Amino acid sequence: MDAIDPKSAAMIIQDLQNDVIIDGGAFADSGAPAHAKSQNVVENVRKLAGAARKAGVPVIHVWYIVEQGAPGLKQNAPLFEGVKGANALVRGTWGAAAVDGLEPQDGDHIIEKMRMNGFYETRLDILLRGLGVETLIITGAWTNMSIEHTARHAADAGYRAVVASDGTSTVDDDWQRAALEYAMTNVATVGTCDEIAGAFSG
Amino acid sequence: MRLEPARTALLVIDLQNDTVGADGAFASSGAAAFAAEHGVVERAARLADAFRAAGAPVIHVWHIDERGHVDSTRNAELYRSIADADALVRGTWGAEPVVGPAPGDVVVEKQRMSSFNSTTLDTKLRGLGARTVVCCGAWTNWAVEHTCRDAADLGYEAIVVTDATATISEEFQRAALDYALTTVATRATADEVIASLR
Repeated sequence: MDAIDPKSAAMIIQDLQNDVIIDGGAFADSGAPAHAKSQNVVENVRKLAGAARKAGVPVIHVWYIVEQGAPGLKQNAPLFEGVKGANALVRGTWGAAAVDGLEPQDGDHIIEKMRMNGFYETRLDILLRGLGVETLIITGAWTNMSIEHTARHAADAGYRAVVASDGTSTVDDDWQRAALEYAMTNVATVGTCDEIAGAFSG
Repeated sequence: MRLEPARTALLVIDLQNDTVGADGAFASSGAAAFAAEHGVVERAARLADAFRAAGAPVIHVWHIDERGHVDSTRNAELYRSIADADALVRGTWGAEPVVGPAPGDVVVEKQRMSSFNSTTLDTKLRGLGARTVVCCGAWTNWAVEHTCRDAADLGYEAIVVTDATATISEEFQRAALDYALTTVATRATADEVIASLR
């Protein structure tokens, strides 16, 4: 992997909330908790976030949050029907909280969103411009939805997108492969969390 | 003020026959007279020459509607007036620029007031590495003002050229430059901009 200059990089941790990847969460039936475990995603992201903070790379938490009843969450796609139907990711609930081990640390940034794309109607782009970011390291869940969409938007918006292969999880290995080996081709650089941490220069 | 050519782009906004030409669709608004009296077109052309000579990008932003204005909503008086006057239609004299693009210039088409709304301008500015946008053109209170505001909100430093912008009257010009753009954009004359480009 090409070097990543910490002065012009940021790392996002997207949707790693209880409802998304934890047993007992709203989408546990999807297989997402099992895949998150097999990917060891929480521990890998925790370690990469630690390396990022140590290198001076800003860490940005992107959380999917709706109000009780998901008002304003237009039901135009199955994903959004799922969020509302499962009463998932409601502000103030356990399900919407960051998973154990990935709570924000002092100096981290937090962005809330209510669609797949971390950029859509959020201040993420403004924050990245303010931080002078050129390279965006993307971790989180689910790889095929929020991660892919955010990586694509990052590429279109002029950022170099780097997706962590073992810092992302979805519902099973087939879906993960579809994202990393097909969808992200020519869009993002894919590497392990160790490779990414090893690429921090200076 | 110092403007680094590699980080500064000139936006020449809506300088088209219908907006500032003596026979343009909106000449009766006073816009053509204002532009002529203040030498706005000549000064914008001189700015463009200076930017090209310095190796800084020149971006022409043109308001272009399709014939019949079928693709433009009429939700505000400005858009209704464009449709009613059948102005700025692709392929017509009225839509043609009064400051022509030179080889290497960039052209962006728009249909709203802000040059950033639903256009590739932001992508192009990022690609060019621009951090500062120098805005000239017409009309000061609408397209120029809105473009400066969006530029500021998007993280660019906005400079509005006081003597290379045109609107419909002195009062309107003052409202934009002395009030609306206060704390949004830096005011500078064309001479000041050119002298700073080094």
